[in-house]
Amino acid sequence: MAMQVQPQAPAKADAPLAHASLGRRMKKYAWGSLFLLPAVLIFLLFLWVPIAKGIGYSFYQVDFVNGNTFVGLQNYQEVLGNPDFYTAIKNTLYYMGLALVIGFWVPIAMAIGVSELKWFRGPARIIGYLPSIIPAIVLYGMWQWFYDPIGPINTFLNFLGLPSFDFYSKEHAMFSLVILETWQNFGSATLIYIAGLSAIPKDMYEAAELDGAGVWGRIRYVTLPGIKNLILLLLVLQLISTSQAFQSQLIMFGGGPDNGTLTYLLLTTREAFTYFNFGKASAMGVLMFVFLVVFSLLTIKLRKGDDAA
Amino acid sequence: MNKGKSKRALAYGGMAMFVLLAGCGGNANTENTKTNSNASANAPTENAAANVQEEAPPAEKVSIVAYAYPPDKTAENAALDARIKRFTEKNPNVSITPKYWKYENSEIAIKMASNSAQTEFTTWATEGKLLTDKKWIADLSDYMASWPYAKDLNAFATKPFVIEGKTYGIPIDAYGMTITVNKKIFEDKGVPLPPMDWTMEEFIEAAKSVNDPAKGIAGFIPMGKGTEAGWNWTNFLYTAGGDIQTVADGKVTAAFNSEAGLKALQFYNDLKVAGVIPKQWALGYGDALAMFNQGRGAMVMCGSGNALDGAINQGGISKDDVLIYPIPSVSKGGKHIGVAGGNYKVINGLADKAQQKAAFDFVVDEYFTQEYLDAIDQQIVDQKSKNQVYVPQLINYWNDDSEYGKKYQAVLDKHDNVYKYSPELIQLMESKPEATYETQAYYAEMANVIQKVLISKGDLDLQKLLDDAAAKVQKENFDKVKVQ
Repeated sequence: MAMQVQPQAPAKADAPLAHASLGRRMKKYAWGSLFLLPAVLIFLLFLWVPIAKGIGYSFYQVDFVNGNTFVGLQNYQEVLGNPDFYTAIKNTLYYMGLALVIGFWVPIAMAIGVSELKWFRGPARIIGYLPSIIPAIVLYGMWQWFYDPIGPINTFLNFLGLPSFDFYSKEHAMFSLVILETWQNFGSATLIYIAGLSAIPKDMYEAAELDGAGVWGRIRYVTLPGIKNLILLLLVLQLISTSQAFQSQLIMFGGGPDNGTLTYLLLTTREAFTYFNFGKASAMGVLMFVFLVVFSLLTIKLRKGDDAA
Repeated sequence: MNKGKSKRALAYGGMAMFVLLAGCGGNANTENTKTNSNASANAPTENAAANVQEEAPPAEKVSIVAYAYPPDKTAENAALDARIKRFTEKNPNVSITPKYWKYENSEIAIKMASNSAQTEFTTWATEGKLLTDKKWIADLSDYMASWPYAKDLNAFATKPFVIEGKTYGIPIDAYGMTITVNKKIFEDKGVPLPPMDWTMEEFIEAAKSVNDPAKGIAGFIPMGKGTEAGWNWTNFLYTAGGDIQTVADGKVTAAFNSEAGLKALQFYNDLKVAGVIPKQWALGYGDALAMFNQGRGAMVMCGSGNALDGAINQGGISKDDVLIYPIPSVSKGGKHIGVAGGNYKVINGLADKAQQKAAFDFVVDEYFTQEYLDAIDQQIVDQKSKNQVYVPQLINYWNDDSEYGKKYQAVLDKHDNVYKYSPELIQLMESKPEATYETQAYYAEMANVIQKVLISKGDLDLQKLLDDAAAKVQKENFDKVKVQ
């Protein structure tokens, strides 16, 4: 009993103090909290609530107008029993891999190239970034023309005496999309790398030069280690964004030919907006969400291990 | 910073957030309901006044949202505004707000979930079953029963929206799928035009004779991307005597893997082998028509008036250089059957009864009237001032041989900027409605099959492709249909 009384006494004595401290803290953070409030509410309304609702919908046959019907795990069973689900996963992984091999190094090379320039650094940055500001509708129209059998690329190949390249075949369709996406997106990543490069102390380059390092030596021993963390961060971001690709696949090829560019998210949107199976689409979204959470946790763990080492 | 200011700032912040959230939740039909609530709230006062004057109570105030055209269609929007004015003068209790949203089957679910579709909107012949199953459109049978002109509607045009004996849509126009031919490409090549009563074989020969890949001109432009691919191919399935599905004993069974289906798929394969189709198979509806308008294809398949309108009025092709052919038959003298389509007015199922009634009255207000004919006449005059051609639909909401049909024909005959269909075409072509159940799923699956054919480099087992597609659609879609 004594043990119970003793802790209560100081708590009572501290209560006004704690109250005063809480009041002071509230006063101190009132303005900051006020400015945070809209962002929190917007995130809540447009991000967290949809995520929670999406998880809920995955257990229902969704009918927005006439009411939903609880179906348990049926949506998940149907998703896992659909052969297109596995085709979409395979295609998405293939697209992610291709984008890494073909596209990931481009902004790194571009940023290093630009930072090594003695003149025209500003114009080079602008030229590199220009593709990013082209509206999507123009972009896809332009690349449809580039890839056309009588478009500029094939006309040039024919001029060189080479056969036309079939950008629309099942074997090449995904490759064609990666080229298009890399061209459009490398500019913004380049700017991030350039910002990272500018944070590397100049004296490290001077020291390297005094030690006799040439251009390649500087890049290998100063530049790349200097932006290593940035490369890892952008790698994770690219993997996440390419795992959710569907826009160019939908517009350029509609997921074809013969489901050759059917990605996971494209199949999800098809379930939702072509077949109106919002429950199944939500189930696919939840599976993707789980995958990305696991992937992100794994990445954080690996990076922690790396930092500790 | 004093306490008062902080409180005021918090209050303003809260109000701003409230306004933001309230703005997010607004929609057309709640707005309508609000107007009605206000009307109801005012009703006692109005009724009291009416009792004093011993007059009939004023009609309930109703607000509806009408289907408008894109902003660049100034002539059409002006005509709509004039029609709204005429209607509201006769019905002062109804207020009508025009709003542009063009029906898309990929957007309708979101529109209905947010209750932001117009009170009356235009949709396609294919959508009847889907929209009624979801209860997104209202049953118009009662309104039709009291509309004196209901019996004068063209039965063929009305059919796609008569479902289980109830009427859900009012036809605007209808069409059958046809082949649009660029006559100039044939003339430039010195190739005679094929006969109107053509066969699939003659079609391929015609395509071969004008095909010029070096110049980027294809003999024929089939749609190969998206569900349009399946929709296009279905014309050949129909003309070969096939069906998408059969319905018996409450069960839907895939039927497109029949002998007719094989013939139709063999035809696509023959087109590919002959090299008369574009190498870039990924052409949706808009892509294929754009290509035709650019003169990069001699033939394209589309609804009878739609490709013509685009080719003449957007593509700048002379109206004398485009012709409409029926879908080729399998053998000489055979049937030329295309998929039937059309545009329909439907009433939003989420609107309340008063709004639905007002919307119905507005939609049919000028049907079978001189005002409608005057509006067409004005549209033709407006198009002439822009050097455009009026492309009438082949099938209208009225019967062509009716009094009204003759009056309409007289309006067309007054002008020289009206496209005239060949009488032989009208005699030859037949139209057949699409399947009732899970048509989009069937189209999507057939799109894969067609793409396999269009990109294949070697021999394909066409029957197996069809059988596999039929089995998949059967298991995943048709078996789940509950026929009522």
